[in-house]
Amino acid sequence: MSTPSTAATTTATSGGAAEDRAVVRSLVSLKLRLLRNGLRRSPGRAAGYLIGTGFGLLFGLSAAAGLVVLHGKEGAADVAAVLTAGLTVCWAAMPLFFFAGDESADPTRLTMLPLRPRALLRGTLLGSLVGPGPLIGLLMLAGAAVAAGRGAASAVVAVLAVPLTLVLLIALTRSVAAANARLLSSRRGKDFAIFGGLLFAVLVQLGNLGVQSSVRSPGESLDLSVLHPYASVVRWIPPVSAIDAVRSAGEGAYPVAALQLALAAGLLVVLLRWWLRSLQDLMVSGDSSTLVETSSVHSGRAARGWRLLPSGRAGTVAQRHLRYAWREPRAKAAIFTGIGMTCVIAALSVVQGWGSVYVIAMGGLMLGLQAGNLFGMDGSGFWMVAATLSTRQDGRDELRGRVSAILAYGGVVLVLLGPVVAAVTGGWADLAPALGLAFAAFGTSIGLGCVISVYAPFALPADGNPMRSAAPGQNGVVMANAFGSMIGVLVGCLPVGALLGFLLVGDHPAWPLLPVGVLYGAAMVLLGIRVAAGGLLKRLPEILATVIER
Amino acid sequence: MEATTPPPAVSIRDLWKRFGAQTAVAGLSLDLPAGSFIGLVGPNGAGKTTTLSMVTGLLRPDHGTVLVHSADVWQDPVAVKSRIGILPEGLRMFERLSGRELLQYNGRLRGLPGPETDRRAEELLAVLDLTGSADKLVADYSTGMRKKIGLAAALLHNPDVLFLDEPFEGVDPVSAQTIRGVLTRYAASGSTVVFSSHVMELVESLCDWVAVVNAGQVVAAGPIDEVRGETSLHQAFLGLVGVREDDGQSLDWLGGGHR
Repeated sequence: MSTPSTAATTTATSGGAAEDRAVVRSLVSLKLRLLRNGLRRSPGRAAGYLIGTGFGLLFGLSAAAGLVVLHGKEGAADVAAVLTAGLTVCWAAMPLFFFAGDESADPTRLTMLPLRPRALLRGTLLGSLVGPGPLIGLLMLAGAAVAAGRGAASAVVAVLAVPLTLVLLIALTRSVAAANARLLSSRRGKDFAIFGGLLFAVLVQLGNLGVQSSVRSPGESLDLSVLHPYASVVRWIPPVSAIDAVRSAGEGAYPVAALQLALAAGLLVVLLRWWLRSLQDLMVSGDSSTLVETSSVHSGRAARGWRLLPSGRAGTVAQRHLRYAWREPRAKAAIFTGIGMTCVIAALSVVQGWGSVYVIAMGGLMLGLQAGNLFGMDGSGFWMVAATLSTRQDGRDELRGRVSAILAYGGVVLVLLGPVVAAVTGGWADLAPALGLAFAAFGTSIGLGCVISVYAPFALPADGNPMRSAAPGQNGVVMANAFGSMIGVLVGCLPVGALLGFLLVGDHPAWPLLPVGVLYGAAMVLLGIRVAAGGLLKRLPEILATVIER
Repeated sequence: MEATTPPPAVSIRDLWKRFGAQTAVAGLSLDLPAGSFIGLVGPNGAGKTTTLSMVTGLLRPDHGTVLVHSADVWQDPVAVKSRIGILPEGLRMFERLSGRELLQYNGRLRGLPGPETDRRAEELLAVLDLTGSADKLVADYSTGMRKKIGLAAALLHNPDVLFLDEPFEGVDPVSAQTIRGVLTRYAASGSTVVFSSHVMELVESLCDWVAVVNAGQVVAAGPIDEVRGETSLHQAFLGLVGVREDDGQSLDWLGGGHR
């Protein structure tokens, strides 16, 4: 086994170029070993990794192919520049969200070893080149270079520019990670990563929306001129400048191309220096647990508001659930994903020309799905519930408390979101029945969620990876849980949907659907709690055994 | 003294638990005397945690019965859950609550009146030296602080029997002394403490009754003087679980001389 420790000992005793090489070799093989051992932990994880890599490569390949097709077309170089800019933003942001998932990205783990920062930097840089991520990046950059290039001079510059840009991207992501390592390995940083990852996903969706609405010109062939103003700015910013140097060289502007390459090379030097400084700092400064200040929670002023909750188990549970909705980043992220998805779909519906206020029903469904794995969010903390829950009535109160917390924030969000969606889609006339349908879906998915929470709970991953909603090896349960509830809610809402159809087709006023939907949703919630309460008491140990984080 | 033996606080009969091919607890039977400070000792993987989880109703046994003060843990959870306090090992708490909020939440879940919960919580926080950190999230607590807040949560409803799984694991000496003080006071009032540990010196200094568990079964149980006999508990334990002394042939490069 070639671990860094053997290499480290040799470096400590003598030092010199040969030992540095040994360190670099060890770090690269460490990366490979971590990758391999991670996959070996479960076949499900290995399959997930392979499928993810396959999709990633497919995406990279098709993006590259698309770019190659653009070669020689008007505006192709603009696409290449904008795409490289997007790639850069993604790579810079990556460590902030995926830090917890990649041990080899965490330099704090190596700072105890007597390594020279330069050797550590070289080893990590080379290690980072291993893996599907850089390969996908290489494919896309090569595609961008082909799209931007024209002639032999372009080809020569591209041979230089593409590897330079790739190394730059890796140096960027690693130096950002190293500079923020202390923060990212603290609880606060991990919290931010979970929430930030989803925010980033929503931003990507919004970007996608923007591109869709501006690039797609009806009937005509692809019009890329809208990208030109953006491209003319980003082409001077490294590392985009390196890829754009390919275009400059193709147009015969050799001094410009040289300047653009020099800009990129300059940034690389700056990044490497920054990274080295961060590594040196990490090696001589203390652990985050003693450096990052922990703050207190302020419950003083809010205390009066909490008194409005009923006393007893239901009120206590509702209070804790509401606190968690705000303090537990996974819970908060799930709620905001629901809201964000509804907004994105509403905007998408307008862009694609089928805008409808009934999209708000999606919001009801998404918010109601927060009840789909009530105890999974507790994790192993569920033992505190199990240890105090001894009657059927306790079970009912426990569910009632959790559900009323979801009803409280979900109801408020739906009422606020309704007018927003109506304003965006222009469907004010149908707002009342749409809200009725939304509340019916909300209540139905909560009621169903209670039952599913008891009979098909699943564990969340122990690490804070925001892109994995479930611990490895239980994708089956998660799929059953998610699809079961989706289909169940659709079926459960059929009566309300049928009533809506009847009212609309018969040209009757549709507003009565609002009270009907609210009442229907409430009935479904009560039914769900009733059915789930008995099972909850009987299945306490089974639920606890299932939801412990893995 | 033998004439009026009180009924045991906890009575375990033929307890079994398998995880896949591995048998964690294999027909364990044990009577724990009421009003004692009881140590459950055994090597890692002996089945201590699994046993405690089944005794406290957190894990369903494959077979066997557990009675706590004559009430069956699985048939009569109302009677049992209100009379026991638990400090599990390796399970988290609701760590996004502050220490104070966690105690308030726990007391109310157990049906204590609000003001009474708050009063007890403040006293426990003060005794366990947590008042200064009472408003910080448990997620930001150190190991010792976590054990202490867990102990406070377990004591809040004044249980008859307290089950503690490795309460001193990873705890600094100052916190350990605080925990010892609270436990000794609690046991002196006639309540029963059951705690697992693999630190023999600790068990020897705290407990008056001890059960040695190995490979999912009880290999010795009784008052501590009977179990250890003439030797120390440490020696007796090594003899009971059958440990072979290392002859020191390997690791001959370790220490002194050449590197």
